[in-house]
Amino acid sequence: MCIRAFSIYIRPDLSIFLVTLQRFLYIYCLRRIVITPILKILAAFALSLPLIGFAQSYTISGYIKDAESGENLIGATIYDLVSKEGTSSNIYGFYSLTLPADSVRLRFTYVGYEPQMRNFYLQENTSQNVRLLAGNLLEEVVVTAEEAIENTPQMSRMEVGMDQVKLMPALLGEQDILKSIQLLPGIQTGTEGSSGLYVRGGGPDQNLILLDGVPVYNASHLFGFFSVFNPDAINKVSVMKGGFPSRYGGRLSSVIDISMKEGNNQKLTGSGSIGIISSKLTLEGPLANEKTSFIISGRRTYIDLLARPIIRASTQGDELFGYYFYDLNAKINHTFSDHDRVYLSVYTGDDKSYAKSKNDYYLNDTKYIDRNEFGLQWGNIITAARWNHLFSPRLFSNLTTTFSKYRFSIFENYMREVIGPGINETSNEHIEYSSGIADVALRMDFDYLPNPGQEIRFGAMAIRHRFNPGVLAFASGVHQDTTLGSIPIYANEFSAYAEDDLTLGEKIRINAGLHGSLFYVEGRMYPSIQPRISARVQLPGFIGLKASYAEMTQFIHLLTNASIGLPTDLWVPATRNVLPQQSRQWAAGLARTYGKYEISLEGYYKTMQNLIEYKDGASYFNASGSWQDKIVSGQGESYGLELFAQKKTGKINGWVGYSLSRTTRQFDEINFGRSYPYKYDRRHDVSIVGIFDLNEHFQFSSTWVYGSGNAITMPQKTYGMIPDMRSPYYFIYNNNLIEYGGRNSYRMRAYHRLDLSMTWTKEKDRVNTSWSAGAYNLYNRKNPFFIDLSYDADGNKKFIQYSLFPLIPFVKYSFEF
Amino acid sequence: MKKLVYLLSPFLLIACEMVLDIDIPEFDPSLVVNGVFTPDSTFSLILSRDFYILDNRSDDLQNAGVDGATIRLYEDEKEIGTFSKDSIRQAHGAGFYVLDYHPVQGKAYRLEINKAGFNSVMAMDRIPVRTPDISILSVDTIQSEYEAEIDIRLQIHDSPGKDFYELQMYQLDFGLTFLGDSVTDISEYFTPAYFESDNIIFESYMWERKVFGDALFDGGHYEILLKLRGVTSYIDYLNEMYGLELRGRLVLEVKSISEAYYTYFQTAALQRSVRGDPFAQPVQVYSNVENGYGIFAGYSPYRLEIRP
Repeated sequence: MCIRAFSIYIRPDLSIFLVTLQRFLYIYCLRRIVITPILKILAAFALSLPLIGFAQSYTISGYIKDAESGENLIGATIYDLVSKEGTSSNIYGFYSLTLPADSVRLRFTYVGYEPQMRNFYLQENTSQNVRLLAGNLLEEVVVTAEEAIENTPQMSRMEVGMDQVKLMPALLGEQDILKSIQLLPGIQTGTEGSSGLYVRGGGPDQNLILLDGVPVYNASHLFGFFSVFNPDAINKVSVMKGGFPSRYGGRLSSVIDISMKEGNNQKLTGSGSIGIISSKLTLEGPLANEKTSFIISGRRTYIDLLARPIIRASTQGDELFGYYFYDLNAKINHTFSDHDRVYLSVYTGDDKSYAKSKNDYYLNDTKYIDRNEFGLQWGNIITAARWNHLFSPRLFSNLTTTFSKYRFSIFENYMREVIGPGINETSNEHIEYSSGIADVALRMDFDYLPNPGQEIRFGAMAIRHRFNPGVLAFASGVHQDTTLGSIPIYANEFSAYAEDDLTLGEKIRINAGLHGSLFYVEGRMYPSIQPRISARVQLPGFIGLKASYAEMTQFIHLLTNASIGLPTDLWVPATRNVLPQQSRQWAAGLARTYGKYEISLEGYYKTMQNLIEYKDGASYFNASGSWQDKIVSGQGESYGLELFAQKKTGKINGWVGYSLSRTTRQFDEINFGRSYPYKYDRRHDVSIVGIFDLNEHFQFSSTWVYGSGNAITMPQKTYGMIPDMRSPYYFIYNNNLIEYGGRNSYRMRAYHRLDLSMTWTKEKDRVNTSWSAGAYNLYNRKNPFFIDLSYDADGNKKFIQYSLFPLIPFVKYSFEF
Repeated sequence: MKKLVYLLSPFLLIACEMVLDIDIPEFDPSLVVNGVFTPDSTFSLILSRDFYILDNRSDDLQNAGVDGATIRLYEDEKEIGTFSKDSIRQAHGAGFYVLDYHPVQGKAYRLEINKAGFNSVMAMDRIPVRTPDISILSVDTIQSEYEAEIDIRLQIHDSPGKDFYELQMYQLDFGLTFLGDSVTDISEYFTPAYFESDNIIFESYMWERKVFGDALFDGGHYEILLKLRGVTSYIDYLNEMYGLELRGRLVLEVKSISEAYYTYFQTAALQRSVRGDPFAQPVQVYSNVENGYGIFAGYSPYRLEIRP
């Protein structure tokens, strides 16, 4: 009976595949992971469960959207009050719930929206598309989980609401998604103001930052002070620090999954803002009918435009320099039917710093015209086309093809023209250092929901990489063109995954799976099988006890030797000589909801292998030789405790996060092989976020952060070196050596900062406007950026600490129509 | 790094530097040993002290020498004797010590140094048992319009096992004594000669010396080309100016050095070469001196005089 009911929707051979796959998953995980006899018994019990639906069961499926904009509501909850079964919507707003034939009372809820009920008798497969109305419950639009924190087996996952990001205080008023994520426990910022993420001891390259499913390699504007993500174009952000589901792969430390808005399919709307350093404008609306909608959002800084006339006037037009960045997000989607939808999205953004000069002069009746241009430029292009197809109410699929490109270059152009009696010559020289990475990928995902207690996901992906790790090119009218440095490397990456989210009774829920990948580069194959498992056991008192294990493999590395997110960092692949990065992470924790408060406590232990670093003394800008000759390989270790308490509703809401952690690195060729603290090893890390809704017009928000000082290498002593110990003559000279006392053995002062923001909103008939004002670093803490050895006015040697951002006020005007 | 801040500042308009004095706890002073030993010489070493980085004396190490220390030498753990002050070199400053004893290849030599106000230090090393086996393949003088280039092609015959080498060239210089316009006396002395080489084995270079390991040619033969420019120019000038018939000579010195010597020299050279580069990680210098710094290491030399 079960098989017959099932075969209505799934071909028999596919059902056999799914059954076999599920059994394989559990058996493999049991073998790879040391689990307790209890878990073995539970797993055996799981194997004995019927895998496919119930007799006389039917499926209710559909999409959940915002009633006003038509935007997908990701993670909305669907719950049947009769059978006590429920599910939640996926990132496309799709849900599927299979229930026995009976009366159903479905409740659709989403944080910040008014719930909706649907009552009917279930006697056939039913489509229920739901549009929820946003309530005046702004206080609930805060960091949320898809479901009660103690119920989900997923550990270390959090979601950041975009409405809250927009309310939080920010440097220069530029609200930033990545900086909001830095306020979560276990996620640390690098240096002052940087948008780099250091998750549970990992490096900035170990974060899989996905924009609509496409990896973003360099997520920074302005040397890392701002991220490339324009909050006005973003719908939802979820963050995973551990317990990674099998569908994610390719990075060791985190997944930042960012979904762009789909575009309002009901009416044309817009929003924008004018800030201190940039302005933004977003338009969205339907095209032709409700089935097609678009969104386009742009942002640009304008310091260069404002400064241009001043610079021209002060240099008599001979010089010009400036900096700007811009980004543009656009997306269009079309609904062919409830079964088929397509989406096209694109992101492009660039940073450019430039300086131009000209010099015209006469010498002996000859005119000389010199032109010089110097520039620094980097940027991303990201495109994605996806097709959602519903094979049946229980089987959802998504086919995605993507293109992603990041390029960085420093260039200088020089042109000289000589015009005189009998002379008319022009000479040009061009020098450029460039690096980059480009990916073309194809991905297929399936989401199969056989019954309310089970969700199976599986899929595959193929990526073609092109790495260009640092090339120096000369071009001249006189000399032959020359190219130095590393040659491009091509690589192919394949991956496949399967995971099963299974509920065993009321107490136990398991998400287990495998992620397999294969990297082919320079004639060498790197296969990898990565088991993942997360489990939740409901303890008495509604306490969720969770544990997870995840193995991750990363086939690309980021070569970096600067403490801030410089665009000069090189993305390089695993090669014949450089092995892929690997990690193992164990985590366990408790979670509980107390009324309006959610509290979780997690502990983790993570090991990382095949990390790379520049050799001591390697010169970054030396283009001679391959980057592979400049690096060493080693390992890392991190462990810690994270406490997260948040209040999701009420006039005052927010959260407190605390991390206690230790992170080390060990390279045979660095620090004489001894383990040393990671640069961003931060023993204590605290963040407090508070939002106060005074009334519907006024909101205040504040954040306070504290972090133990960064670990740096500081000179401590100096002593003499005698190059020829048989000669006394050299001794009297300053052939001195410096003793550093070990890599990263000195701690800078602790970092702490208070930010404040207030927003005044005024609603009008057609346009809603708001003014935001606030301050970054309110009490003007002089936080360390770097330390330098220098001399004071009396000639005495001193260590000087340089700080970057003092108290910085901001003001911003925003509008919506 | 400071340049980086300056680079960023105009972009941010508001970015600025806040200057604060910070203190690093001062450390106890430590002893620094600089001593190498070889079978054809008796023991000698220089003992000095380190300085706290904010101590202005650290800019000038002329007064870093330490006298009055008790330095004992052990050969294969048998005490050989105690170092005494170097009566010849003491005129150059403090810290020169000697011991009239010739080391032997293959034996382990250990130093124990005690000095009031410092932690006791200990260092141990031995002279490599193999002396470099070198063949000179060719010596060519290439005369250009301005100067002569001397190309020396040599071959190292390496033995199996981990070996380390140091290579240095010396050139003969002359000191002339005059009475009026007449040269009354000519003294000869060797000075280090600068040379170039494209061989990839040379990992570091400091003070006209190169150190390298045999990882790329372990147990085999390896050919090296050294290029010296202008070494005869000064001699040619003297001959022409004063009607002399001086002839230049070169000395090639290749040492088999211990791993401690190699690592110390390698890391020291690297640290000095990247100092001041904000994009480079600071390099830590290796030391085989316990509770102190510096190097106490043995080597076995091969020397050959070359007449171009």
